Amino acid sequence: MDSLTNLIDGFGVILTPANLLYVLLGVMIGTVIGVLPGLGPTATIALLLPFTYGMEPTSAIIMLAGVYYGSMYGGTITSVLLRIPGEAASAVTAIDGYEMTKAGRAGPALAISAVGSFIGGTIAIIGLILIAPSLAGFAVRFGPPEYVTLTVLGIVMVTYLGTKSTLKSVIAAAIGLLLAVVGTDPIAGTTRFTLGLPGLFSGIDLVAVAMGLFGVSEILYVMERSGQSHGKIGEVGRLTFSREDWKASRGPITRGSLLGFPIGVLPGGGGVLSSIASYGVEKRRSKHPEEFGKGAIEGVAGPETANNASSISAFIPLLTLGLPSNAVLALILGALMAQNITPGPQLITAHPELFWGVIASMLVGNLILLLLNWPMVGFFVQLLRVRIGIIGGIAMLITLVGVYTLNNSTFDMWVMLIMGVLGYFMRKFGFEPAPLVLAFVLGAILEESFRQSMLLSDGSLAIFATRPISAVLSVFVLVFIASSIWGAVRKDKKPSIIDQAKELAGED
Amino acid sequence: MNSEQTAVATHSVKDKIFQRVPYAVGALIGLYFLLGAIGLGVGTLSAPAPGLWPSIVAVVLIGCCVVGMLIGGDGEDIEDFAGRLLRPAIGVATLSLFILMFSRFGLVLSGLVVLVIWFRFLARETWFMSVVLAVGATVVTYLLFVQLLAARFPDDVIAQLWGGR
Repeated sequence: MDSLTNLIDGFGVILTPANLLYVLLGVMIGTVIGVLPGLGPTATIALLLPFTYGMEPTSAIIMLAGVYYGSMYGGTITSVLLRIPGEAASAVTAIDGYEMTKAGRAGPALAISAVGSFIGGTIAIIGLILIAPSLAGFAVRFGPPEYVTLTVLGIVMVTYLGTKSTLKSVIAAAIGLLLAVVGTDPIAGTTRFTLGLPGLFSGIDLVAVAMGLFGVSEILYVMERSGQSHGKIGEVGRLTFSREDWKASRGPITRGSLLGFPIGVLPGGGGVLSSIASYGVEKRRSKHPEEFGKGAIEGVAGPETANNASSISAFIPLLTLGLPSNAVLALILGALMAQNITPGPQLITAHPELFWGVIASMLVGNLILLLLNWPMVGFFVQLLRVRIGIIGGIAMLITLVGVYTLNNSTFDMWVMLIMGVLGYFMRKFGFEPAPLVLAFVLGAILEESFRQSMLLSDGSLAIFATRPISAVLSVFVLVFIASSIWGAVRKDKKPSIIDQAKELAGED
Repeated sequence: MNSEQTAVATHSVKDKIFQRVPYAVGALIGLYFLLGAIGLGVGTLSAPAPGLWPSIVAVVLIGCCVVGMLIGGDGEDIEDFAGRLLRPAIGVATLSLFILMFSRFGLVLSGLVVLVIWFRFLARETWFMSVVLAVGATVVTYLLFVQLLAARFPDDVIAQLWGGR
């Protein structure tokens, strides 16, 4: 019952004209960005960060959260109508969604995704309300050794669950950890690896890194092929679905919610993995698996529900442990830090208005998205006529100017540009930028906790095995590492789910 | 994801070297941090010095890169892009030009010049469209950041003509 009164207080926070406007703004921007190929949610949130510094913390986070789950909706539209996933998590939807469009059933595909996303999002919010406070209460007892094993587990899982080579992800993560070291040593106060540049004394700015790796590199990447126009945009038709469609989708939506929720909590899980997992489950359970890939509505309803559920539950590790589970959440962590709020187990009790306000905003935002989708799909489709080169130019200008406002220095602009070039080559050589950014964010927490643990234990690594919670976490770390190595030795490219993903998503 | 992203064949010696380039670069980065960390002092586990943590991470990085160099890759997720570097390179040069101009002339002039270049030569719009879009985007950015967010930018030589800053 406590949660209920808190939630009502949360609605008190959110139901002010200003905050409602921020929710609306967030989900609108998110949807538009999700529709436009070339700019993902991570780049957009990086782009918006400078705008949040002058806002109330709660307003800032509800807007950024809105961008995140709004982009999940937007990505669906282009996947279904054009077979172009606006963001990665919708890649699976493109398979059957586009087939439905070709069969003149774009309306039902979009409508069932909207309803599925709404249900998945809402169920995930309820899960968040039930789980987060007790998890935070449990995590209050965590000391430095627990944080070391937890962050290591997070990084290991991000590399393990990534869609590309594990070895490459580990290398990216290690570089992220090293970049986090640049600046002034948190304990001894000496400067490290600053190359004598004053701009580096306070460390490399997270926003500059993220904007470079996700924004600039993505634009450089699409610039190679600019000038190409999209294919013909399919007819949308009436945005409704029949009773039979609903009967077929009921199960996938329910299972998608239940599947997406835990996957979103996992570090590196998030939208992509949950939608792939849901597609796999639905295909296996189906009485007519041969229809998958030829326009089965189950293949749209399940994954869309799952990726929305996971984009909500991904907030749990950040709000309860202070540890972001993916690159988007890493940036939201950055936004909180800029407001002098350090997320962690104390967040819910120290800033209840923030926690419950964000939750209430998610319920409101999901409702707005559901209502918005119906009348506005036509408008979003028109956005696709804007050529990518134009979007790229405008995005570049705003990105550069925005990063300048971080510290009013051109230094951050150069950092971002260098990171952009690095990100471009990483993509080209098959490295994911996400592990780098996540490790970069976790680096400071990890190093500090590690050194504190060593001081506590007088230099004995046994401290990670003797305390019960960190012992359990250490076992998980070892299991994941062993399974990666075992997989590499046996020449399995990846665990089965990833193979499935490649098969499903990359069937071009 | 895109059908024109062709995978690099694994057969030729040139390709084998090409696939190992990122691992070599990674190893060099690791080596730089390792040497720097040793210079900072590693200390002991019971009394960690500033160089301890970076040296641990650097060793992991070097180790992974060495493994990568030994086993190589199958080249599956590497794109053959050597012939397509021109446009991204022009993009980077344009952005560098913006940063250099921005600190001297402020937002408006730099934004106009760089966007016209971008739209005309990278996005291949017509001259007319390029100029119209550049003016529009620059004005909106100026209004957004300078008027709405009150950002402190370097003195703007164009905006000053109208009494702005």
